[in-house]
Amino acid sequence: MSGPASFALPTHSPARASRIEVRGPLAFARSHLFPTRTTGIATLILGAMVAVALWHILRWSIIDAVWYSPDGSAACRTAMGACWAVIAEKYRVILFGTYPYDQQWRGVAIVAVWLGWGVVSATNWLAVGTRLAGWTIVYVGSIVLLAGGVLGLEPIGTDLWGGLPLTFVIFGGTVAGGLPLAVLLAIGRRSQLPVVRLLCVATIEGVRGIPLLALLFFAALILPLFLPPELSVDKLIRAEIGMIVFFAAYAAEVVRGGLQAIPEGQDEAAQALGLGYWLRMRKIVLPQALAIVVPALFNDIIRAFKNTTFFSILGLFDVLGATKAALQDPEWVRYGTEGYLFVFLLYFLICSAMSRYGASIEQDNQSRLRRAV
Amino acid sequence: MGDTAARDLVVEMVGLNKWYGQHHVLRDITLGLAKGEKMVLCGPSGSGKSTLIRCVNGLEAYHEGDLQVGPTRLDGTQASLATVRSRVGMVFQNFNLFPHLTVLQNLTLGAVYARGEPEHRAIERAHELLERVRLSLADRQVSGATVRRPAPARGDCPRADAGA
Repeated sequence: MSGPASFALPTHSPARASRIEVRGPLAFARSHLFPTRTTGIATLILGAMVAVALWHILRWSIIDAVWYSPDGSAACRTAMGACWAVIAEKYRVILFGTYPYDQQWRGVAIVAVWLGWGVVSATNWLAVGTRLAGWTIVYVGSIVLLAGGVLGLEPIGTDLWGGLPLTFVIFGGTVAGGLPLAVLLAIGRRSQLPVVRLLCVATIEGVRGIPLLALLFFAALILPLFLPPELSVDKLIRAEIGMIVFFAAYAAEVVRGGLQAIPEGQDEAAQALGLGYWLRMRKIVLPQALAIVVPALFNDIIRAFKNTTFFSILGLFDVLGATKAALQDPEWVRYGTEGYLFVFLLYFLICSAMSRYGASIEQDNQSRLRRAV
Repeated sequence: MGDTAARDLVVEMVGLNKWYGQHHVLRDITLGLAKGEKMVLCGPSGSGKSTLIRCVNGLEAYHEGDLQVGPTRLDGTQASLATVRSRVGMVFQNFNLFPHLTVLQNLTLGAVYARGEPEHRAIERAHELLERVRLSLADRQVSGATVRRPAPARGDCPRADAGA
């Protein structure tokens, strides 16, 4: 037992619980809300303010609110709180716009299918191709159902389309048309061919330099003045094309970021295998590039959903446009706050759902993002 | 020399020259590689070893001279590139395996899409090649070194007349 013994490992100490409580509401309060005296006082003051605000909101929106007003807005006029009766009265107009009343079951069906497929396709139960094919069917089905004229459905012109189904159709068309266009623009911007590259750069930079509203006004209101009358295209379609081009210009730059993130060796390895340009793009480069940019793409996709509200300015009855129209009824004109709060809540729920959808796709993409050593 | 047909050359370079800007990398390379022959190129870094190899399957274009791979003259046209690439295998310095595909897909991609082989044949052959690099798809644990093993297998996948 000479020299080396001093280097021997010490005997193991048994594991024991920490004396500092690290979990539970009490520990959280101590470390986050009352760590020092000053912070504690600030917590109390801010807490009191929040409590007062919450109490007022609660009283206005729930306790003193009128939920049902059988004869016009009479019950609302004497009440202190919110008049939710306006929603009960006007929800059909807000949700379905000027769509013929007895045909609004079509709108209900469209909204139900969108939400249903949204839930199913957010999971990874089905292959990506199946999910995309499903969305295509849902989208085409929605348009057929709205337009009618087949299967004994009464035909209904686009000027009568409105509400949530119209919002969904505008949004779906923007993404369905815009994403492929964005990919083509991004690929074209990196092309070796100078004319293709110049055209793509000019389109992207040109469109990015114009406000969406100006683009939509041009497409919907100014363009028809220059086109010969036999070339007249539906206002909805003209505005939709504006939306698609605008979305594509922004998304193209996102996709380009993804293309640049893929190491050059990937494309070279695919070249060495003898794959042609489009096959390399489809099988090797784009699957990896698009997987990288899913978070940024969902940024653009959620924005595209909110941008559908611009259509209300063009005189189309998307959810916001329909709400505006509904609240012009002199009987209910005083209860715009309640009407718009309802619409805010509707947009908030749909956009949060889309955020969750994006997060779910991201998780599913982990396998595609795995890098070889 | 001279009698190339008799020696059955699979790669033949005559007076190959290439410049990167003003930098003259490949200078009058004349070289023949016979069927079954193995060749080692060595030299300091930056001396053009990789450039020479990359020329053989057209990843780099050369400026002067003549390069023939099998019966095909590599003249930069899409047709010649496609023919040569479907016959020449290449293992990259840093492997460049496709991380978003499975090992099997890495090995069958070229066969199925570039040469139009039926998928079951490509899969069969991929299994044979994996056998040769001692990798079984049943292995769940894949270490850093094993991750690279499919790379030479992929390089071998085109019934290699010439292995670069």
